[in-house]
Amino acid sequence: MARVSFAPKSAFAETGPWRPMPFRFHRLSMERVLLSSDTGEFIILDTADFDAFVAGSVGGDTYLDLKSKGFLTHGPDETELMVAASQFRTKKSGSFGGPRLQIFVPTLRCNQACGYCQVSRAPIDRQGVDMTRETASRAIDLMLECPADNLTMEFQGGEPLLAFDMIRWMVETAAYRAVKAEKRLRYVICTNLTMLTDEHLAFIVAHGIHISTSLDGPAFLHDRNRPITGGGAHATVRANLAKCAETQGCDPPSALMTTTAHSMPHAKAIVDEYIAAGQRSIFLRDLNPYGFAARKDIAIGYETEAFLDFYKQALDYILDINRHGTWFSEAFTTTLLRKMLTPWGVGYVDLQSPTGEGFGVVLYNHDGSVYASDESRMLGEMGDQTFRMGSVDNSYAELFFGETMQTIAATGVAECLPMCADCAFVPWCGADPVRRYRTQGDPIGFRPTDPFCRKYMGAFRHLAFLLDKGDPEIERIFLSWLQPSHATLPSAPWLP
Amino acid sequence: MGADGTDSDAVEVIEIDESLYTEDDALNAAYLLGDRFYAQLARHSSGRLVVAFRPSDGQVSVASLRRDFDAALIDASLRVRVATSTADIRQALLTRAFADMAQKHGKG
Repeated sequence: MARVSFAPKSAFAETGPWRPMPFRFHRLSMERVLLSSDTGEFIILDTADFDAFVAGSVGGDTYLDLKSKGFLTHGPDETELMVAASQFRTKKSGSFGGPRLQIFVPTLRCNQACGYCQVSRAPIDRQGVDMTRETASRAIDLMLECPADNLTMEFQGGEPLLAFDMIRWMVETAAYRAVKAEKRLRYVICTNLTMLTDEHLAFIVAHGIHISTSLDGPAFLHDRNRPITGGGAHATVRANLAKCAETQGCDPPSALMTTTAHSMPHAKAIVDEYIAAGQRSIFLRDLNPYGFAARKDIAIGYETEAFLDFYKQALDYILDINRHGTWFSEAFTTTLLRKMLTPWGVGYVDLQSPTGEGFGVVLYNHDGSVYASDESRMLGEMGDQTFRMGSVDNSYAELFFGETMQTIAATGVAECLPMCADCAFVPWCGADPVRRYRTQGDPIGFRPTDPFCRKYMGAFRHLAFLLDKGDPEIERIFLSWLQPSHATLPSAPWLP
Repeated sequence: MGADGTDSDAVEVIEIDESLYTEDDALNAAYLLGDRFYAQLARHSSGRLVVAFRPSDGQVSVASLRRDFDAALIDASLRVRVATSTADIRQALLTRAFADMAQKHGKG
């Protein structure tokens, strides 16, 4: 394949005075400063070069690097502004067009008793916690009123497969109505995979449904975190993952793990477990402060810094695995890298600004309540209805322009929040008013003590540190994670 | 309350040189240290602007407070300078971005 050649950097030099474009900065260390632009570009400079830049006297390669990334201009002329506006719009495109992720809770019943259950699940024989067909029908109509053309219909629980007949009816009904509404639907079932039958699998394959499941690590850890009557949840999950892999036409299930205090010493064993289970990726996820996980009497919690240590340790190990020739990605890192290294937005609810809550996602609960997000529903199950938008009996306009959404909109733009407004990571980060309300008592929150802020700043800083090493192996691995369809390790085009 | 109108439990009272920094710079810099210190801004009777710091709990070390606050103050001031000097470009950029978005979503 012919190699693309670019003009040398010096060809882009201009003469005459220049001025900085809008930028934010963050000191990674005494020696290195990260600068980000409104469009999400970034550059890491020596402190001396940074000082020269802000003093208006930078030259040489640093001048060219800053110019090529849009940090300085000899204008700006209309073309530069339109290019930057287009980049900004592309980054934010996921925040407009209504909630593309539509979550349905057909039942709150569950056959597992996870200590960290965020939704306060109900016992398997509880009455009155299943969605009725009338509620489901109304919820589907509301979903199809969303302006976006492509929607994801996601089933959560409880354990949704306990309400399989309802899922079957909802998928078939939604598919039928979507034709008239000219929408394209994608389906996801979030299941613990302990109850999968051949009947379920046949339906899942027939409708191209994606399975999302939980695998917390080796048996000793998974079964401790996710107990089930009679035991052996881990063995069943592994057997059903294998069954899905062997079933022709079944989209490979994706798995995510929840980190508890019990997980902390076992980062390597957890990653090894995913590889042994045939997974190509792992999502290192911290505990959410909702539901049973919010109870103070359980010993599974930890400080944000402990999670970051665990994350870094696991990521180092995963990078090592890739260096030795096995392609295996980490989904949390990939999401952050997609923010940092590509022009695209990412539909990850935590990292949307305007917030994903109500703008990118909506949830229809089993009782017909409509919430701005899964986390809003979790609060609702804890008895706090602050982020309940209404019910399926309300109109689309009442739900999406109502008082709850007004509150969320007023507090859900990161670029307008204290400290976030000046933060160099804000082009990649998000506002999460529901989380801040939960952890700090108000939807705006206080950033210096905000666990959300600590987690994301810590993760962005770590990735910036890794990228700043200039290690071609790390760059090749990270790039390959951004192109999962080529599960190989491409060369970074800018490297020799 | 101390004689200068600041928190009498303050472990450190720092005077702001207003020929270099604004009240907003001081506020922004103090906010950044909010994980470790309660900060109180006060205008002394002589007109001097002071920030009084009190540790948020007994475990907090005050050893590097003055140095950290000075560094935060310089960055806060720089951030305002950059934002002010590039405000016209940011405004022009966002106007173009949102005008096109509004048209795309039928609100233009």
